[in-house]
Amino acid sequence: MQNKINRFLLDFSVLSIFRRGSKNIFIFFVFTLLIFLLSSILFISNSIKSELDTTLNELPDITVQRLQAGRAINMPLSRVDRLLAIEGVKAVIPRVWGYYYFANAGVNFSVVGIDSFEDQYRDLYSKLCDKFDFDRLKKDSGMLVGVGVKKILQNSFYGDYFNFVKPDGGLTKIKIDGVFKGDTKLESNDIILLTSQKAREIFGMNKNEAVDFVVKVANPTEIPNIARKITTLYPDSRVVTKEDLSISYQNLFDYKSGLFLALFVISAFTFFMIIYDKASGISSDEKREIGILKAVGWKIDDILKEKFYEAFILSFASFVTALCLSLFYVYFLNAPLLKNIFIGYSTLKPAFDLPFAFDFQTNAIIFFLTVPIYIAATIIPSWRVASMDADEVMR
Amino acid sequence: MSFKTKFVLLFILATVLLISIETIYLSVQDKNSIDKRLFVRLVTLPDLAISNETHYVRHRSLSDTFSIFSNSPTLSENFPSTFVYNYSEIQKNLPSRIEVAKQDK
Repeated sequence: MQNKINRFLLDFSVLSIFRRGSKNIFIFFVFTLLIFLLSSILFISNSIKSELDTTLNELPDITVQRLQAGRAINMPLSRVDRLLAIEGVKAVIPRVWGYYYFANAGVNFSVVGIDSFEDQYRDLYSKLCDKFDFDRLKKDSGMLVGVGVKKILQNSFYGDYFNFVKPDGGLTKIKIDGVFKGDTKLESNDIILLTSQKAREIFGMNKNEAVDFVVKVANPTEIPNIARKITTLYPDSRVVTKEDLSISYQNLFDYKSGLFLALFVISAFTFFMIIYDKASGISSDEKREIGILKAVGWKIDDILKEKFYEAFILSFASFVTALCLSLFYVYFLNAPLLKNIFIGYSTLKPAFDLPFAFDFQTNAIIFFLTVPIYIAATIIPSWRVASMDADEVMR
Repeated sequence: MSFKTKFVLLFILATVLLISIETIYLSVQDKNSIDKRLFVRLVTLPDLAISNETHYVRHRSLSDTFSIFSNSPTLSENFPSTFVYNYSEIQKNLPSRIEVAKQDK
């Protein structure tokens, strides 16, 4: 029964928190704000990461690019046959994609070419687009655009078509035949999907060239082996496997510098200011209180228990309040202001919803970095005072 | 138990309950991940359109440490999103260590 919570002590601790009301309210406020800021940023970064992870499996097994003088350049289609000859390669698909700078709005669109709008994928396109007519798309050989692209073009009075300026100064007029659903905004916001024939025309690319190759492999365990063979065959190629992409997604955020370093440093300093205030010795008032408690017969054990309750209630209440607020702020309000940190300067801002990802580990780290340290910083000085003689403390 | 203690305990309990309700509500919501997967299968390109101010942030998995130097070796990063996103490490080439030597006087 010894471990049972002593409710009289609990009562005393709560009343003691309220007795030093203004100071404790301030600590509660700063503590809550600190944990709120930290967990909100970590929630946003976790969500972005989880969004990437949901689509990881759909990415190509191997992507082959060609480098010259450290820059990626176009691939000659003549390489396809030699790549196909490698044992285990199921298919090699040349890709035509790139960026189109729309100077009027100062944005970069990602233009992606696909072979053709084939009938067998009719359902797929209808599923991905709102209010969409596949036959019209096929007839016009038009394009499908992301919500962001549509909005930007509309602002420049391009309602249902867009004139791409070709490298030779000519224009290519392409009809907008569909807009990707808002659900896929995080993936599709800046994408323009059209046939690779049109994409080549816009980029001024040769017919016997592609931007890069996607290699499909029959047996996933052979991927590293085939990647090695491709590098040996064409030493100027940059081979990116699905495994590499997964690693790249894992290291999306640089927790050791940049924003996160700034955040952690600020948090740590604020937190240690609170701790310093607590640990640098307690006020004479509190000392006298401990002295009186000892004089009326409290044991050191009781005093420490009381102090533990006090610190735990204050820090845990701050922690749960902050967690509740940041969940609401990030997932219900969609993190206004803080989200902009992750978007940067882009004019093509996606108004996306953050997917929910509750990472237990992150919360545990925040908990263990704040609550126990605060409790320790309260108990240790109290123990120092409580272990002195009562009359010496009260004097 | 005093009124204040009851108030504090109730406050903590209510907040914990609210967190659980928020978590449950958010996790049962349909995330439409099938559409997203279909889209990525169609486009076959990695990374998110969350920040497209520069190519090495928009498609960072297909770039490497030196992508920033593709225009000029003296160009420094000037986009705020590079402050948040890490460079892609898949090519395992560390940032170059070329340093400008001090001139002897």
